[in-house]
Amino acid sequence: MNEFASGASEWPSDLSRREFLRLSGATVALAGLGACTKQPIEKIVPHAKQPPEMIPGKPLHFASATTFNGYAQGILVTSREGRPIKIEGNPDHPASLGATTIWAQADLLDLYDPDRAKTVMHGDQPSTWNDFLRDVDLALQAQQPTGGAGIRILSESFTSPTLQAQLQVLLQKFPRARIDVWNPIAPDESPLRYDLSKARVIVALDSDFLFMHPAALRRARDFASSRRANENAAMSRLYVAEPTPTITGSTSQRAIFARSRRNSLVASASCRWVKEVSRLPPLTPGFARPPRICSRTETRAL
Amino acid sequence: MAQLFSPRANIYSRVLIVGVLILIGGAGWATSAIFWSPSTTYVNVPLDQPVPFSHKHHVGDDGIDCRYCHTSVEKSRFAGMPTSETCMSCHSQIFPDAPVLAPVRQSFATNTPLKWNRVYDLPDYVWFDHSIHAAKGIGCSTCHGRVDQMPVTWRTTTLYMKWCLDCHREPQKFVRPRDKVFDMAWEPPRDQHAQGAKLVAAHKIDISGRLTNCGSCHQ
Repeated sequence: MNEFASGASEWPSDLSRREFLRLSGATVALAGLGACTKQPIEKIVPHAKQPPEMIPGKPLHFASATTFNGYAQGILVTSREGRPIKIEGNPDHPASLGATTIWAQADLLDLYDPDRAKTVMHGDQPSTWNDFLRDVDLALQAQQPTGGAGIRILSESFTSPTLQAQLQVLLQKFPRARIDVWNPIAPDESPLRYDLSKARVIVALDSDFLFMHPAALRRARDFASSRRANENAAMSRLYVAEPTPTITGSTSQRAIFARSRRNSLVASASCRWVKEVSRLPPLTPGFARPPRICSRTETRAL
Repeated sequence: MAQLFSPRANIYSRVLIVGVLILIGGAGWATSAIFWSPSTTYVNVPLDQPVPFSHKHHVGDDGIDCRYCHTSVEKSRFAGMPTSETCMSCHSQIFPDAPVLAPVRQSFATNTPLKWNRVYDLPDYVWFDHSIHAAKGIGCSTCHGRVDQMPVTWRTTTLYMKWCLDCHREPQKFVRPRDKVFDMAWEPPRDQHAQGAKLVAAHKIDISGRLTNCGSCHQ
């Protein structure tokens, strides 16, 4: 991922420092001269047939979605003269509520990425979709006798019903083909919908549900609402066991560092903690020191 | 000690002094002449267009309202240029075979836009919004002149910052009633100063100094 041309950040070896200063001096001098030119004639290019919703000079806003681990997050895209320029959250979408993740914000750059594929390639050579389909057809026909035993489809996780149906059709034709789904960055998270605004005690085991999660925006909002002391009788509590520091851990009452494979150990212990915690007096903003949920020996055991 | 300067030095020095003054003045005059000349400002210079469109015919003779083609002038910063479809809505019936309209027909048939040369071109560091000017009672002809008398379109103002500020400092000199904004023939009345002051108040034009803030146009 690099928005600049390759090598743009390298210092060219045949350009000495002295030469560079001389050239930049000349650039400054010439830039001053540039003010003496008159404006060149510019063009106005109206539509041949104007789309009805378009007012020239006014941006259009489109409701769309980006996916995180295959789960859609509603976004609003601002577009000027046919060019998308800004992504913000869609307030009407339950998984966004008007907010976006940092990745959704950056998705805009994807559109203008110079490395983005512009055409079908065959090796190093530009090709066509027809050629691609012909080659794929040939390859699939060769798999016919074995029932597709040699077919592997690699994919990120997805929730698109259309893609699901298409892959089902493929699997019916080639019963022995396999679809492998894997996410390179984000951990697999259960898509279960918890209502964190109602939770009093939350225990997160290696789960960065406030940040690295498909429903992070919604959960962060719900979690925040359960922490507003003036609206709630008591703030909710969050306890985290995690292998690396995360946003969720730093937001918690108490985070302990534990390897992921110790999660079951933590989980069995956490039942007892939750019971203990629920007996504690309500947490008020003045409550400075959070209670220890884990004894020193327990921590060492983890 | 010998004389350093011969008697001729008097002449030389006078010529030199006068010459330098003339040179400086001449350079100033030449710069100003170039700055204000039509070749720099494009004032009264008709531009070549893909179709020799005549506002004189369409506005003056036919009486078509500005907003029929410049549809977004009241809604957007950009007044809008007619689509080829807009042209063809009449010209599929009127002069359907005229040779000068061939580019329009071709554009409409192939869905490729016409490329007009921009007559009124502000520098990119200036923010200008048509809609607010139309809403506050600044008429088309104040800046664009009598386009209903132009067989081809040309610029009638320099668009220099001085020209913008002339109005932003004293809008009462130029403001007109809202129903006259698209009236090509509107002339300021004799008592424009008094009328304008009333309109400035009625249209809520902010003359507290905000109009001449740098940030109003150089946003």
